[in-house]
Amino acid sequence: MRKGVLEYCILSIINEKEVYASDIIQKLKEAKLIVVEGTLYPLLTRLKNDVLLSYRWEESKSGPPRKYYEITESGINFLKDLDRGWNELVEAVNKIAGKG
Amino acid sequence: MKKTFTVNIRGIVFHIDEDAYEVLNDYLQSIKQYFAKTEGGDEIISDIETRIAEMLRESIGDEKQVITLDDIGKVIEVIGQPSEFGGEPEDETAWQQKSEKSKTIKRLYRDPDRSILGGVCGGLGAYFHTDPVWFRLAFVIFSLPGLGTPLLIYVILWIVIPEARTVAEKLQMKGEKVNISNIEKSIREEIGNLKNKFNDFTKGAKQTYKKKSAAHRSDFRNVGNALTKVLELFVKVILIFTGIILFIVGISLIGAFLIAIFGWGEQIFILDSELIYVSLSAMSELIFGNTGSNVFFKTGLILFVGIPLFLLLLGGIKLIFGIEKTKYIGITALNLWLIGLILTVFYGFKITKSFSHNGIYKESVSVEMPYNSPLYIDVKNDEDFKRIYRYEDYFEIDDMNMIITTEENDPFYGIPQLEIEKSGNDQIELEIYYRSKGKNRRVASERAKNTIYNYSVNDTLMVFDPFFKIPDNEVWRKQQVDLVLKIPEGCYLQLSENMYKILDNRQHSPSRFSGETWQMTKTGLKKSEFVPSEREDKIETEKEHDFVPDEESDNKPVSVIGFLYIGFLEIFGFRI
Repeated sequence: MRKGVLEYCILSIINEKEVYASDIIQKLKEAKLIVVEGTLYPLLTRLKNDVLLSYRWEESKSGPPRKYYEITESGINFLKDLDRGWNELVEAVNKIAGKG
Repeated sequence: MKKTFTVNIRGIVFHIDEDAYEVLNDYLQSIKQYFAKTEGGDEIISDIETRIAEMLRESIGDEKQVITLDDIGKVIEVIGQPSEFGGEPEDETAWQQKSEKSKTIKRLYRDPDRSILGGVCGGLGAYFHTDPVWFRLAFVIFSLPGLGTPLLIYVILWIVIPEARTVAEKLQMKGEKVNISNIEKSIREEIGNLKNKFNDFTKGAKQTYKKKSAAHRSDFRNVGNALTKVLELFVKVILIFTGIILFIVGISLIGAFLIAIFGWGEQIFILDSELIYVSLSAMSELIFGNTGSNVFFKTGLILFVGIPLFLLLLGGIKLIFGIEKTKYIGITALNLWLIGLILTVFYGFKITKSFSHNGIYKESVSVEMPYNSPLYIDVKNDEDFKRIYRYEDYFEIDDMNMIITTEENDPFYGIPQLEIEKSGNDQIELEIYYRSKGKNRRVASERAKNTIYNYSVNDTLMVFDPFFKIPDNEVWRKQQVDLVLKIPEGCYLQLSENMYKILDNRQHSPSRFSGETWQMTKTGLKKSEFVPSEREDKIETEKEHDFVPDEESDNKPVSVIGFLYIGFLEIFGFRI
């Protein structure tokens, strides 16, 4: 459950603009969705392997080259599905929980 | 001061403290194990390494150039332990394993941190919560007589028992409570190892050039490691073998040395009739008397010779049991040895000095040449002397003519040497030279004078004691008594059968001269047919002899060890 949510969040963040891993971590941490950075890297790799996102290398002044992630065509489509699925889920849950 | 390593993380070079390195290395290992099974694991790991490199890069500056344990701690806090990663496909199994959290798993590993050969005993020790030294002792002791089975068992254990490489395994080896992440680590590592091996074969072609070469590098490294291990083992076996030899040699030499110093129970003992042994202790007491010098000299010798032997033994033990450093022993040993050296040299010089001067005290007696009668010469057969003048009871060093009795508190004795010469006048002259050594001429002469020697002389009869005595309170300084008997030409001389005891065998063959009648001629002593008339005043002598010399006994019983002592004493420059 949480796993799917995390992926949804990651894709949403990347969808806004091209980002670096630390930026994603920053946002997820602020939202208290993750505690440690280690959680993120396997997810990013899986999303990349599923061709939902891609990355490009960029030189860094303060360390090794960084990976900047951007969303792919299929990523955008998948995100739309997720958006729809999430709204449905929220509606359904709200309806049952009597908050609608 | 701290030791620093240089590491390369994703192409960035860092200087890192030794302890920080250990922790980082363990951490990366645990991450690698965790992702070993995951698809794209290599990429995840490289992402994490990149992030680590980045964070470490931020933590150093112009002032701070070295990565510390603190920095690594912060990194691990941010990235998290693999058990905290969560959100992975193995969620369910992870949860299951969490329920087993309280279980303590204990496994038998080889302990690389406490290894001498393969770490088998170290691992056994950790498993049974015992000092590994007992297992080592057991292996060594049981290997000694059979030289087979235990060694084979050891090799088999070495092969079968895996080495504890990671923190988790080391925890398990010690049976300490292992938390969820550690259990995961060990399971994943095993799976991961298998998978990696499998991948190397199946995915080989698909791998990028970079990955391939990296894999090859690690292959070569593994082969190199194996070779190094074999070489290390070889060196260790040789070292242990050398250790055992050193140990045995050390023990033997210490034993021999202690016997040389203290004797075998008593200070003088006889191995067989040929080999008579006087301990250095007894020798030292002869030279120094019962004084402090005697104690100091012996102590000095024990330290001077004993310390290197002890170190030999210790070295052997260290090699056998792989003990690295023994604090303070070296410096203590050196100090004691130097004390020993100083004492030995000091008393060595003292001995040399006290033997440096000759002293002579001379007595002389002259009697008229007996008319138409030979001069009868005999050696007294004193009961007291007879007691010690038994083959087994005295000790004689070459021609030093010294006798040490095995009797406690007995004075020591010497054998006088009689020489027969032609006299320059008509008188029979007996000259007695008492000789001794001393630190100066006066002391030496005094000591020579103290020597007790009894003899009786009248016109036709001379009776000599077979021994001279050195008084109880006197020390041994190579005292000698030389008798010179000057016989005028034409005088007859009858030598009793006991004369061999004191005749100087350098001038006269004792067995040929004894019991015969001789005449002094122009050219020296000649055998005579003169049959003397029976004398009434002839002294009663016992015809019975316990000690009848045969031809060989012209070579007086010489102790092999006695020679060693001569050599030993001469090392200290004192000429005997």
